[in-house]
Amino acid sequence: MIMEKELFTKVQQTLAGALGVDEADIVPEASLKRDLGAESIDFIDIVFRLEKAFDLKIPAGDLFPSHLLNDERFVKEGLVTAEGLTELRTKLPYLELEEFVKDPQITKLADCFTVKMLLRYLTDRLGKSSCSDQCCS
Amino acid sequence: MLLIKQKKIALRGVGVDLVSRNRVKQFLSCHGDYVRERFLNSTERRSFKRLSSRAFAEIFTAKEAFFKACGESWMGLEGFQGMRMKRLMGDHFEMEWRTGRTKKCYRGEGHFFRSGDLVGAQAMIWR
Repeated sequence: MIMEKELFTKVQQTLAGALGVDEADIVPEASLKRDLGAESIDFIDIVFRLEKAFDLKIPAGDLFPSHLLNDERFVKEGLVTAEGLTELRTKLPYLELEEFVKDPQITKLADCFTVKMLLRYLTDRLGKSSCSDQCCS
Repeated sequence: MLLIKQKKIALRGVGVDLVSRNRVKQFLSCHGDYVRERFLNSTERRSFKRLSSRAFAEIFTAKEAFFKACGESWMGLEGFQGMRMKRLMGDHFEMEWRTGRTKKCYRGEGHFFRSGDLVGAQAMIWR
């Protein structure tokens, strides 16, 4: 079982390699897009690198809410509905939505894709029971 | 007198994407095999025995731009594999995408543009 510190270091190295940023800038709260400047090709690079680094396959719907955004029950006039938020919480429990719910514009959802989200996802996939404050705070 | 019934068409979506060739080169050096297996479809794999950074930059930006024009949500790499691009004269291309999940079919066109290290694509789909 991979240790939390080891997990974080490995994620830092992975993201630094993919995004060309300093490892010191890769903190759990950092948003991949807003803070670390990830663009389209970078997201694919990150997925490939994580798969290689942790020897796992990441299915499309695991990290990105692909199936939710085209459903009129979940997104209306550019805003994620209450039903959509519930669906997001159920299907993507790694996302932190506390800030997002205050102004749930769909265009701002990308800001919720943070380093912490990746850590939580990997913790879950790698079979750890929980991700403690040491790892994610 | 010959009456020609004009079909009304309207722009349904526009998408633009831009990528650095150096970034693509670095990406391919890391994930060349993965890209062939999981990003390219069977036709593209046959066409590109060796995938250059320029060729991949064009395929990538065309698919990304088309994806944005369609307004569909991220469908993972499998979504990109479902897109079929046909190169036309000059820097133009046509694209068709039959989405797996939402069972829709989009057709459109676009063109490439370049500036220094950057390769870009603009795609349009019509109603």
